[in-house]
Amino acid sequence: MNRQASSPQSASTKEFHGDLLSTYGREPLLPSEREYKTWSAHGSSFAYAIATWCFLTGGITAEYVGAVQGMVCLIAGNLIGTFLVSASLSQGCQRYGVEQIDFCKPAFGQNGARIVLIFYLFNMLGWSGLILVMFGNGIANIVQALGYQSAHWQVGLGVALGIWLTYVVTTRGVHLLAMFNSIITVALIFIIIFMFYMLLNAHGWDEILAAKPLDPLPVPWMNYAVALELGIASGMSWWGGIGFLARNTKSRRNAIYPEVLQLGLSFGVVCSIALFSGLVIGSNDPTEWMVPLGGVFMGVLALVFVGLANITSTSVSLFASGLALRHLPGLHTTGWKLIIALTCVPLMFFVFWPHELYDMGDAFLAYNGTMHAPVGGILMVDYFFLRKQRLHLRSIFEADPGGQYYYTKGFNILALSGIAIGQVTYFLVYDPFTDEASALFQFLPASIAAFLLPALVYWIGMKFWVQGGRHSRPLNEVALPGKLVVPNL
Amino acid sequence: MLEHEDVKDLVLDLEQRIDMMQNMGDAELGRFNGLDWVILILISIVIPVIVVVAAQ
Repeated sequence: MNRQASSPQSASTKEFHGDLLSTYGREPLLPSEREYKTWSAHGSSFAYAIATWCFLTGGITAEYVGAVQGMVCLIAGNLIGTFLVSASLSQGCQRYGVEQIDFCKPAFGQNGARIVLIFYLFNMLGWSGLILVMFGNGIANIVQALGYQSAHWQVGLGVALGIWLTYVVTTRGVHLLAMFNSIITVALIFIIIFMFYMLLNAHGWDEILAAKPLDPLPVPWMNYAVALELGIASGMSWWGGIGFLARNTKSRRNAIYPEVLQLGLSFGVVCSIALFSGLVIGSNDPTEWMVPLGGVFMGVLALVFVGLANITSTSVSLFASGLALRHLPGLHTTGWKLIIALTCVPLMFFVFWPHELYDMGDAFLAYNGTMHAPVGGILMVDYFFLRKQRLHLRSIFEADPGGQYYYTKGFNILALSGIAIGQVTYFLVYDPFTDEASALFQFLPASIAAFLLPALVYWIGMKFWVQGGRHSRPLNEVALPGKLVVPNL
Repeated sequence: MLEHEDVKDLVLDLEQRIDMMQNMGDAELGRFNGLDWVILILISIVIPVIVVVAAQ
């Protein structure tokens, strides 16, 4: 083992329980170990983006606005939201090969990042559960399309099948995940074009353009504002998967362009198709309208691929969650299969109570929206403006109070307060639970306000308080020679 | 449970990776320049904001 670790070449061979601790763990990932080149980076981002959540988002947008305004809100909003949260994460995780929660340590502190971790796991596993219920619903609809009686328990069984498929894909590693995603991507593109064609063929562009929103709010300007907020918040909700995708890319361009183009643009385009179907058919769920429009064979084929798309998205989420679990004591070197099995445990609730948990999805999504924006704003200021894209990598893995990112007992109170400030700001501008909004919401989306204010407070505080006080070293200080005192493995 | 030797090896491996990544030049991780930022900001912020305002 000592011999293995003695040369740079051997760094990639370090393994426990047969798993490389770089690929399946938190160690900085060397460029030679990364899987994603241009095509696979685009393919994985696309396969991650396209799942039933597109149809959910598009369907909700159809309640507020028509086709043109909805398309603008979904595509433009997604692009804005995705870029704002991915700029710092993609560049930082790719440059230093670090896992997403480790990237949060310079801003939030060694222990503060663990608070972000709790939110992160809650977000990733919650989303995975919701998607798996949609996968289960799809299976029930396939059963119905084939002429059999669908039953309540089939959804739960579908969730269980989805968990098993995800487990199989995720435990086979990033290479298989990338290959699987690349194949699914091609099929999905054809299916989506086919769906759009069927929709246009059945209803025509004029009918889509003329369709009225399904359930608009009484205050006219609110509808456009809420739809735009939905678009931006959806874009920001990619925060959870961005670090994983970027860390596995070989080049800096592949770390960010695929995320903006696939998670931002492609997602917005597919959401728009769901918006159109919501407007003219009254259902955003393609598993309900594909069979009547496309016929049994094409309809079922489409349903199968939409279902598989949910599996690819969940696989990326679980892989990233598994890496994040490595932060917990005792799980640093645990076998990868056991780690992924642990991420599947909370998902089992969705097997037994799929509909009950799915019904709580709106509140879950709304709460998530209030968290991504402030974290994204703080990370952007921290990485680009305070540290000038230079991190002290050793301090990320240093649990000793002498590390640069230790702050106060391991917590950067300023950054953590920023999250609370962002959440309060969000609710003051727009309350997603009650649809009440301040006048400011007409001009400034709540996510943007919750992004900008914590970012500004954090920048001022770090410049004049933290940096001027105990942490008086330059924030973009480069590496100093030395050894880890208390390694945070 | 990890043996003491295993922990030592892990730390050694980690330190080696830290040194490699920290001392690696930006160019070794692929090119990315001002033009990339201009393109990204244009397609992700400037054009979307203009379209959003125009469609309001």
